[in-house]
Amino acid sequence: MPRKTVLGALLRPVALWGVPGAIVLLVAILAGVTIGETPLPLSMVAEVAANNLWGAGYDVDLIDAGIIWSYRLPRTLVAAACGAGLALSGVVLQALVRNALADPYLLGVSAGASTGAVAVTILGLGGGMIGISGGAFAGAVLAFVLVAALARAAGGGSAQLVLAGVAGSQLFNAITSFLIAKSANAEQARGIMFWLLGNLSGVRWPDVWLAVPMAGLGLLVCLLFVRSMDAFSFGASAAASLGVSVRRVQVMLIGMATLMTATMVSLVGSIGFVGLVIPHAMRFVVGPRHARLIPASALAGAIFLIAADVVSRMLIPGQVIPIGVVTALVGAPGFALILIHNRRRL
Amino acid sequence: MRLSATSLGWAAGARQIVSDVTVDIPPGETFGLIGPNGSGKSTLLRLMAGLVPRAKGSVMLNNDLLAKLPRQEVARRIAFVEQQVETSDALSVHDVVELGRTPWLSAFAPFGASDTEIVRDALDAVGMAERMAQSWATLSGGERQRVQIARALAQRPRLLLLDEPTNHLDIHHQLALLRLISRLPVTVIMALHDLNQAMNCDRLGVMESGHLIACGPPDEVLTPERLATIFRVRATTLRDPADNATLFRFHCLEE
Repeated sequence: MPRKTVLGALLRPVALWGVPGAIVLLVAILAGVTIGETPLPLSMVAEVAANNLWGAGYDVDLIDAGIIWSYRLPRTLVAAACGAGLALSGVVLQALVRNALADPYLLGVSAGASTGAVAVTILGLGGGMIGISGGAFAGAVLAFVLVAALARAAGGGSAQLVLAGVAGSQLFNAITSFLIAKSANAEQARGIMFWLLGNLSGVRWPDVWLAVPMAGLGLLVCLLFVRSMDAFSFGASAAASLGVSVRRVQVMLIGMATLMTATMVSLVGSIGFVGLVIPHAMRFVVGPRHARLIPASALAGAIFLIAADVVSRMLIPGQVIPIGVVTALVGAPGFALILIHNRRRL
Repeated sequence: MRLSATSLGWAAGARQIVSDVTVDIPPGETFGLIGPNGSGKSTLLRLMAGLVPRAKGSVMLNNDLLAKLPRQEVARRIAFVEQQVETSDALSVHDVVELGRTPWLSAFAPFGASDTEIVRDALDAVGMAERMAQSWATLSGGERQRVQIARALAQRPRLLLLDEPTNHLDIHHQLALLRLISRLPVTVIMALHDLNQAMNCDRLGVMESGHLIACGPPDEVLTPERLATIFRVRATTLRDPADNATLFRFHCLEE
């Protein structure tokens, strides 16, 4: 193929899907920033952004400016990155593990993160040098390494990976409960509970600089491997006979998914349902081919979590509901509808 | 493309499935693998495709050691149609055949016009072109088999490995498929159950309990004694007056 056509074939989907997708995402982010207990007009958001980005010097109320720039904007951006990251992890795991139930928490990542967070909070592990996020990240990675090692020792198939993940999750959840029951006072227990269910309240700009590049990197890696993921449709052996280096792709993509999930969980706690539901929902919208499924899931995950965050802030005045509660409350009925709709189509 | 296998073997735990198979298949040959159930035909094909971990022995493709070639390069040379494959994805017939282009594509060599044409040709070759938008899940066993063969053709391989390709096919499509394969300018190695169909291969290999016990032209390999000992049938040969071909008629040998 001549160079020009190759470039065209590469750029066409970007123009066709990427640009509208970016616009939709931008609208969602703006909605996430303007909607809240204190509704703030779009013009003010633009002025605050201009002030902070290039010192435009608009006269904006300091409190409103603070809400927009230090509170809602980082929160919305992290919500978008987490939604995209969790949805991408879900797509990757469902494709490679060949199990419809696969989600980012399948491999014990969430359970390990909880144990890590609890160990830091209650036991004071790390001597205050690592925060709750650092502990969660370490726990998530440790849990995944253990689960992967167990799956490998059990023969290395995808069924073994799922079973090892279940065993690992149970173990780490038990350790978490044990630590809470043994050592935590009531206030600590409540704080941990709140964190475990997903909480964006503490999100600030440094979190944005971690979450957004991580989601972007994850999207890029996934996009490079869309055909490899397609090739797994008929299983790992069929993928190998289609020229996919199965081991390399598995290590690369499952590693990426784990890294994304661990990062997101360590920033905002474990938010359920996004990684499971969004990929399935998007399969019904754009089909099973990963060239479309990957960007669609990233976009839908981002928008879904921005919306869930808005709802969590607005549902009960003066109180923030854990975002994980909102995603499951909306996600479970939504998923039920998809299942029923799918049955009709078959 | 020439395939030379040396001392191929594989054991599942203590059970030896394939032992010490050495065979040389020259370019362009159609090689049939026959043998009773559980004799190791499918595993031998998987070994030849380099898909079995912890295998013994070696496979050479022309002058290259299969185990040393990158998977993508192997998939450009060898296409493999397994007996039964399943997916839970809602793929269309076209999607499945398009998978055959995977080894030829990369992020910087996206699916192009020539790929569209190759997929279209492959669908035409198995008579599934009009059904390319249909969902894979709604196909019958025979139709799925034909789509998988189209997928293998879309790989544009130089060696085609087929595990009982005529399974599930109605008689018309069995004959059409065998004719299609015989006309392809590639090396073909296929496991077959129908010994009359096997007679049309250039050479046959007979598998029994994991060993390749005979190898040669069909009329030399399929002797009445061998049919009795390996397949436990008594064969009478008939001659078709239309083209003077030899046909077998089988009778079960009781213990």
